[in-house]
Amino acid sequence: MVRFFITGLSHHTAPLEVRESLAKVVTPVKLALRRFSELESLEQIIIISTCNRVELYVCCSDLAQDCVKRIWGQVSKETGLAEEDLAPHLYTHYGPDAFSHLFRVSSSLDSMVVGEPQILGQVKEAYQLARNTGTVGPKLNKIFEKAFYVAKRVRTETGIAENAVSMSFAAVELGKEIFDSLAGKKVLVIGAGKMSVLAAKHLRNSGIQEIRVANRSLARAQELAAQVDGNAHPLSDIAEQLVDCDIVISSTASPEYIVDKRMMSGVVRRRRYRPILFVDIAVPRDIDPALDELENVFVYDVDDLQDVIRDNRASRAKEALAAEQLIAAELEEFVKWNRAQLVVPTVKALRQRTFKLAQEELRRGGVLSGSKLDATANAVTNKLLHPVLKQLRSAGEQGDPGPFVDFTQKLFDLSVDSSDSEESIDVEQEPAATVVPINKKSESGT
Amino acid sequence: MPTALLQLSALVYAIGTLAVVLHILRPSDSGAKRVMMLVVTSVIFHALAVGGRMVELSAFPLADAHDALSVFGFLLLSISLVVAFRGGVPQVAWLAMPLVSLMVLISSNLKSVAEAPESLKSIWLSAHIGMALLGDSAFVVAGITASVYLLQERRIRKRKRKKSKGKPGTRRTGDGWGSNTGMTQLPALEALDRVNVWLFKFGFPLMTLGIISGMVYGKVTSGDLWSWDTRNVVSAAVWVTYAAMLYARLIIGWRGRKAAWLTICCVIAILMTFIGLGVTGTTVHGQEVV
Repeated sequence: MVRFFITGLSHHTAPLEVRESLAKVVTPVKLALRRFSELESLEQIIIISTCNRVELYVCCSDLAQDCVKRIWGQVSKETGLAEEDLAPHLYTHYGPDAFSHLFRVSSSLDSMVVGEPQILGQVKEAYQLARNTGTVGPKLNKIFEKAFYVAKRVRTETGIAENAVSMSFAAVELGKEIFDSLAGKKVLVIGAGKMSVLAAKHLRNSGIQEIRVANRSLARAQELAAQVDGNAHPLSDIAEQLVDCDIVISSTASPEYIVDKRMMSGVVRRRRYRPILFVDIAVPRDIDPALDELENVFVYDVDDLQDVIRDNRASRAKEALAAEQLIAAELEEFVKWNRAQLVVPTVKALRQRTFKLAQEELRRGGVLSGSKLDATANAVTNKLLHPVLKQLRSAGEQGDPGPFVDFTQKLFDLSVDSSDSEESIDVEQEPAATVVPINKKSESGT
Repeated sequence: MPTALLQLSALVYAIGTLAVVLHILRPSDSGAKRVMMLVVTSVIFHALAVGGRMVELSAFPLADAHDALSVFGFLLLSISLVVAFRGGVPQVAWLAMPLVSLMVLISSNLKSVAEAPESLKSIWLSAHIGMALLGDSAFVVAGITASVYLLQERRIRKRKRKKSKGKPGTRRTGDGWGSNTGMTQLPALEALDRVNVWLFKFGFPLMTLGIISGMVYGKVTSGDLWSWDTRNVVSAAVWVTYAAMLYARLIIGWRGRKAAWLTICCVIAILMTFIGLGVTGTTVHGQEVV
């Protein structure tokens, strides 16, 4: 029996450093896929590795807990990290919980910024890479296809993707009120901290054409610039950059203002009064609030942005609830379908056996031959097995068909090859892993 | 017949204005489409009325105050429609509706002459009035655009954002003033500013040609190239202000709040010369009403 589970860590459970060290193990993903698929009983695997999560989606032929143990043992060996150190950050989901987790991840309900559009693309890429590497079989295929379908439904049927949640999303929304189009606009990111990285990445996805990064340390600026395909500049050069750029996002740790009114007065004239939007997400502030008095200069600090975010957060909570309900309904349907698949090999074997017997007996009687004989054998099979097959199918749809399947197999002396059921997966919950503690977080989203 | 058509237009305008008010109070995507359809319908009816009057007079329909108000309103809404569709700011057409409705309502209640005065047969006078009206219409639309700009700028500065609407599980249908920009309720400042520059570039040459053709007409009829009547003086002052603003906008790059306020001031001056001096005028313009 094939078992599906997911194991890994994310921004909910692990700090950046731990995520980084695990990300190193699975990079390049192609080689990691090959290495893991050599592990005993591991049949199929897909690895999703993003800046916020590293997760392994696995189908195994053995007890899932044992497979989880083998995986993290291997990781521990490769990273040099002790299993005990890694364990508190890990979570593992089995059966329906695992499906649900994948559906939520693909639908961006598990993301740091709920509703952000990148994650589905990343899941699709991970799936494609694993397919190309040859570590995806029909079972994982089915599960991921369903996840893409669910994610698409969530995206089109709920308003979750339309809400601005993070600071940078809020900045983009504000930008849309000032600028006709964000395409072709230039963005200056001041500071190269964590917030700046996030902001720059989001902006890149909003159609912004050019991103410039200014930082006190040019090397750090270059590092961030490389990540977002932008250009790096020293902080001393900032007035020059302000002349060209349209949106400025600042998040340095500087105790002084980086841009003050005097500097900006000169810049405004050189810009020919083109509008400029400052989004100051630093505390203490980087941008002198007095800049807001200048013609066509708009300054938003963290408190101002809170209003934008608050409005969206209330609406987002409702949309997230709608998305969760949608996922729950899809999950129920998928689990039901999957259970029904478990009876398929038995149904097939029973039909074959009965048909063969009917055929032999009819042939012995010598009344019929050829296609007439087959048709009659078929009719006898159908009529005879109708109530049994009906019971079997309904047992599959309604709950765990295991005992009924076993009973049928024994009663009719069937030998069933479980590989006949190409797509079914054992969906029953496994007990919590004993070796790797499961740090199961609340799935309420960010 | 043309008067009946104009009265029918006044009715359609009234319905359109009501739809605009309702849409502003309870915005929706379908409401935006309905309003736009009513605006277009109004313009079509109005065009028929103006065409009919043209046939009736066998001249450019500017024989009296009735005609002047009607044609001015027609040009104003036509330009607003172009701005709405080409510039992506439908709000301008909606805001023009009540103004034009009022103009058409007044016009349809004014007595109209049956025959065009002899002076209107002059090509110079027709050119003068036609171009001045077209130019003025562009400036009035610029004034509306500038008002929307100030409204949006104030909203942004005050950090006011309309709360997003829509029930969970349903896709949001645009909110606020329209769906032209999705989440944004009013058009982006940059779009409004760009439309304003278009209108200036379009209106200023027409205004200039209007003044020149008026001067030529004066020279032909009375021998004077320029007469110092109040309307001429105000028009000249507005022309100089517009020239200075166009220079500041295009050459210096001046834009934003101050430009919007100045546009609105100039529009008020234009409307005053048109309504205050044109209709009750005792000057050279008084005889031709416009």
